[in-house]
Amino acid sequence: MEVVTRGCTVTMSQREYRVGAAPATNQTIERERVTLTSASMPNPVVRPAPGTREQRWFHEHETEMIGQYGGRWIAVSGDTVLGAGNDALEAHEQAKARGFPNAALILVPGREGEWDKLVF
Amino acid sequence: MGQAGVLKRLTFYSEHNYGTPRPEVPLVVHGPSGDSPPLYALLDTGARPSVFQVSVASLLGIGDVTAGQPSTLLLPDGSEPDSWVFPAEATILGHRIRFDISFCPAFAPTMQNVLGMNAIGQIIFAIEHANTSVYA
Repeated sequence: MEVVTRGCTVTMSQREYRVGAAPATNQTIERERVTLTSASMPNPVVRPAPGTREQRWFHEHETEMIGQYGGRWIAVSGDTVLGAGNDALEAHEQAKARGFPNAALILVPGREGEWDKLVF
Repeated sequence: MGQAGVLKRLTFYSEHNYGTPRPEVPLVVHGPSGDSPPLYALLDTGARPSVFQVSVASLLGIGDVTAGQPSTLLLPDGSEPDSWVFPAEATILGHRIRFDISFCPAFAPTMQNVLGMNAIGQIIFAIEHANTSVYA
């Protein structure tokens, strides 16, 4: 796909990656768009950053997560919550004990819309 | 308006779709005892320091945040709470960078981690918020 934005032409391609996101037994497919501005660039190695899938999943389930874990930390791998605690370490240790030391750590907002009011 | 022209051409190697109302990106902190699990932080071009939850410190092997370099933050309400700064190395959007992380116990425990300009200023990135994407 080719798009033009602000006078620049960029080419967008799609790649698929197989992510062995435990504990699901079936591998899932995650897509990432890769944007290139140089046709001469050699086949770049681009993978979704660790935690990308979990971030998307959390956003899709944010209301549910706030109801269950509002104001707490959760450790997530794929689409599974593997630990929860009042701090990041507690959630991490629970996930680690279950064999998932690299589960993404997400701070759940205390209530719906809480972060919409934040000003830094 | 005049005719559009190319002001500058940038090359990006990846796109991250954050899918949230604010540009939050995953990152991994590389510590002496290994890599952290994926964490998340807000890209905050309005802040110079990067401020992480105190709760994250222990995860990074920092037992006592007050062992860092003493500093203060300036918050929107005008307060200047104490903070402590630690050098860190992290991979953000595929870029491995070094920057200081501040820990501030006065930060509300529900505040998201913040990546300020001391970190993201090292990366060429663009935010296309209409599509909740960041390119880097």
